[in-house]
Amino acid sequence: MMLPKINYIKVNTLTEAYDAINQCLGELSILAGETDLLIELRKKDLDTHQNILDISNINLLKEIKENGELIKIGSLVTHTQLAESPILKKHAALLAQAASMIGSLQIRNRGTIGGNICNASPCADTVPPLVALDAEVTLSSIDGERVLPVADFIKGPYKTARKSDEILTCISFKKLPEGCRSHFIKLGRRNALSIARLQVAVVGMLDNTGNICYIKLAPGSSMPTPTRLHEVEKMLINEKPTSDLFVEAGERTAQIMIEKTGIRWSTEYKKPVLAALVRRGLEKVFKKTTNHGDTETQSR
Amino acid sequence: MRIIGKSVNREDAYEKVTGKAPFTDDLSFAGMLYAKVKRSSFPHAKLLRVDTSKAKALTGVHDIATSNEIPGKNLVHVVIDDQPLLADGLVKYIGEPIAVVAAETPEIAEEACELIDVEYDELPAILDPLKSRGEDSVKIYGEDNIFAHHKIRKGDIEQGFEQADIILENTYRTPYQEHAYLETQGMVAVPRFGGAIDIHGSMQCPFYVQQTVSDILGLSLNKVRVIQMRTGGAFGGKEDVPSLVGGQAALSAYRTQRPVKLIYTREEDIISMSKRHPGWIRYKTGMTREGELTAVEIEFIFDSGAYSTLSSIVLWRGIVHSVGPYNVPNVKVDAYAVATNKVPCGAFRGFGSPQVIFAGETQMNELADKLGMDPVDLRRKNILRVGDRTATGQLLDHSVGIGKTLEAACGKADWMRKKEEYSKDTGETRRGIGLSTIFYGVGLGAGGKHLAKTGAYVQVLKDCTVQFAVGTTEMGQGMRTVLTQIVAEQLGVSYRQVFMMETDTSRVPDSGPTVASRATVMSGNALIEACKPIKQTMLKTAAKLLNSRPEYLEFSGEEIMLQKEPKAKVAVTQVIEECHNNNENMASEGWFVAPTTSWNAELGQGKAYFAYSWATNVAEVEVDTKTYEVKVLSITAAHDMGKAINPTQVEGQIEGGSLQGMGYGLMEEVLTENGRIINPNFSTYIIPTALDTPEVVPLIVEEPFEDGPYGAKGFGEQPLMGIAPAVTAAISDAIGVKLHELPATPERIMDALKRKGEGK
Ligand SMILES: Cc1cc2nc3c(=O)[nH]c(=O)nc-3n(C[C@H](O)[C@H](O)[C@H](O)COP(=O)(O)OP(=O)(O)OC[C@H]3O[C@@H](n4cnc5c(N)ncnc54)[C@H](O)[C@@H]3O)c2cc1C
Repeated sequence: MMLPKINYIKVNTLTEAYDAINQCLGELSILAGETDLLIELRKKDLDTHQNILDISNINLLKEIKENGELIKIGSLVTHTQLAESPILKKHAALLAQAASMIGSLQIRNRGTIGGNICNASPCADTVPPLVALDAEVTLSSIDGERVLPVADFIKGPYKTARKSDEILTCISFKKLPEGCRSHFIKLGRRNALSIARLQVAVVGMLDNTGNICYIKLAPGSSMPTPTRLHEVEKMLINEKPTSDLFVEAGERTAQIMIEKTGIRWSTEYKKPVLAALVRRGLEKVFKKTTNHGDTETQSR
Repeated sequence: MRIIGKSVNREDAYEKVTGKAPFTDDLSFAGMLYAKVKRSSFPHAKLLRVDTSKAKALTGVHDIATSNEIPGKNLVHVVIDDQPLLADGLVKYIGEPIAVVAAETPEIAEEACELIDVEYDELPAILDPLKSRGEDSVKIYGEDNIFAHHKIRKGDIEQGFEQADIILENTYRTPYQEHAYLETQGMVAVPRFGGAIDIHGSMQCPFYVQQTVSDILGLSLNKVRVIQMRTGGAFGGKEDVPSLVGGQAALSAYRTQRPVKLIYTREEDIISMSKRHPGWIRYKTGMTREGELTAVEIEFIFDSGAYSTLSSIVLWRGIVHSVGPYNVPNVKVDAYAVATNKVPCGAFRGFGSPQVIFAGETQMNELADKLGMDPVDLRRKNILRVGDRTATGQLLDHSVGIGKTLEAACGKADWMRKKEEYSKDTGETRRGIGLSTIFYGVGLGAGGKHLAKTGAYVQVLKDCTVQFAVGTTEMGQGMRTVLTQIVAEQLGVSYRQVFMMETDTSRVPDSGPTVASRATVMSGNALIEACKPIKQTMLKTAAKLLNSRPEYLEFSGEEIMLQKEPKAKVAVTQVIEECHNNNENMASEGWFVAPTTSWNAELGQGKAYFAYSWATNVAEVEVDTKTYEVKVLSITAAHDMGKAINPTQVEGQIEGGSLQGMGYGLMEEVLTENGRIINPNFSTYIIPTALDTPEVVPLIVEEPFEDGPYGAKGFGEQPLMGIAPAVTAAISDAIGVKLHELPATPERIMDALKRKGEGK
């Protein structure tokens, strides 16, 4: 493979990493699992010099921990770890579910949650669940730490609020309330090694009268920046979970996508399909058993 | 039989699974240089200037060759001689080679390519194959942009349609398909003493590479030796185009007198190497109310790209297979291979047949619908049987297994019950079942008669092992294993005692290409010929040991025994040792020429192929009526290949081919923009993965072919060929939509449903 000339530094601790960043002249890329970075490097001119800081040895960043009501995920946690985590399966199942759909086994063994967020691809699979969980990222540098919601950290396709001397160290969010259910849907062109074309992350719960008392909805691959759809959530909150309501919520989501992105060649397909996926996500979260047959039989 | 018909382990399985098998990029020679090809960035342009001075000045660059530096002929010979190795004053597609750089490292070679300054004068390009033939189109080949026109005229087409109660006419479109072999193209050229040159590389057809290298360098054939390395997949994509790669590496090696390695990147491979021809097919079928075919009229066009390559014979196989495995009294077919300013298309598993099979089988399935007849019954009425004649007038006298495959596949898939059950689905996902019946002419046929020969060499060594060589190649299809089985069976030795040497043009005479599912029949027969004199010597020697006469003896397992008195016997190993002690010649050559074929080009009539393989595919799908995604639940495929010499390998071919056919039917699409391929890698050119694999149920039907080794006909291409129409028929069955364009992506299914909704 043709790569530019590389100046490679590997560190074992965060302190070493901060030192390396401060000493480095010129641009520096942080390397975690390398599954996005390597592809980026291939696109560079062969005669450019590239500084690479490999943080993959910092063991401190490789754990998923419970901290009271909080779950804290180190930025070097791999997708395989996410997918297999009993903590996540219990308190934020949709994140484990999303991670299990990423790439292939090999990619999941290497790729990290921090890399997925920092790369900020519009179709990153952990992002819609994290947005639906109101997750926050911790950015650390020699000057200290700052905390930002994931939805604010990602500024646009492949753009983040990270400053060049900052390392993403931790992702944290509150455990979902007891009885809350979650679901993630990914639509791609095949079942493995598939880039998402549309995603839907839903978290929700009914109160004891059967009304929706908790709902967070974050579509992916369809908006310029990842975001919860507060408007659609408002349509749903305190309402009975009926098929008609879910259909409406889906249609409204699709409209918002068009308002935000305009009409593209793919819109004709994506509009009805996003609506259907949102409806299905809601059905999955709010119904004991989904029975597609109930709702509609004819394709729209 | 001891070994034939047994699923022995693949001969090369262990070394491939453990990563020990050496592929071309693993080869290294002292002083080796690395080559890189400078390519065109325009689909059609005059080359005003190719300035290599800056590139030459770069440290580490040893040589840059343009068309001016070619010592021999600037030609890649395939059928019609129109393709240069390096563009000479004119480029006709994006990715066309212009110059070859040889440098000390791949990085320097790449940098040098970027420093080559090419000045273009852009010309209008022809990108739409349907406009290529037009009178006012830009002319890029001859007077009419037509590389080939083939036809069939049988019976009286007008009368055929008059006899029809229903006539169905549709237009179909089929896409490019990329071979997606795991190993990209690559060659290493090594100069040798006496001005000779060795070429090592990934390829299907060493004798083609030998011809091109000889032409390019102006070297006689006896100085060019081509050795096939382990080849990581080919599927037709390493039939003719490795001649370009080999020619480029040879040119650099010859000029620098250093070994030169040239390995294509995936992107370079996808933009510049051959693909399956996109097809446009107008298909008109006439049928009686009872479901009997009366007439078929077809016009089709293959988008062939910038050079003629194999298009003429791809097109020819297309016409022979266009009518399908049916009895049709009146046939008229006209097919054209047209030039466009895009990557030249070539061979791909099925070789011009999957396009017309998609159209033809969809016609049959839609006609069944129109008649209210079960598509299986419609097949039963029309399929070819012994004594029938094909659309090209060929009499089928034996080995016609189509009926058996039809019953086997539909029986195993439980066709009637599933059809009934699936029709009751009412939910958001609907299931459906669909079918295709196909045939495939084995070998090169009348279109490639001059190449229909093969050689073989067999030697029995004094330690009782056997080595053999053939002129055909292993590319993953399992030929090594099958031929090793044949030699072991023939000589009365165990499978493990036999070893196939790598294919090398210096070991056996020109044996033609390894294509058209021909290797088992052709090399198998040549090996049987080669074993004959050795076996004779062994019988003669055994006779002395048993105090008998050779004609009273026979091989039985790993022994030679007296026919009348089985107790009087001697071990084959003992006989071999005795032969060596007696200074007998234990090496021999074999030669096989294919059974005759014939062709009348005016009428498109004749014995097109010496034998046909037959198959029925049943596909079951589940369609999501909201996202229009299709999940293939299962493929039940029954194949008649005459004799399954290694049943597990046959099943493996069915599984792999089914998946490749499913990719063709549902997802694979080369996207172009102004003649540029915009998805030249596997994150955007989508092929099925293991997780997309349906349950594949392979069924083996054996209708022996009398001229085949142990009754075998060819097998290898067929599993791909009929999958797409079976899958689209299943989608139609599930949601009542007509699909006439591949791949049937969710978007196309949605569009087709909309059109149906609008009553179109
Ligand atoms: C074949 C293949 C399939 C894939 N499939 C999917 C898929 O299905 N879904 C999906 O979402 N993604 C997919 N990806 C993309 C990729 O695997 C993920 O985005 C992965 O999570 C990236 O993590 P990484 O550790 O490999 O990141 P790296 O490649 O190491 O880094 C990615 C970027 O983030 C920066 N970075 C990484 N860690 C930090 C940190 N701690 N602090 C600051 N900056 C950091 C790097 O500098 C770089 O810019 C696929 C990639 C490949 C090659």
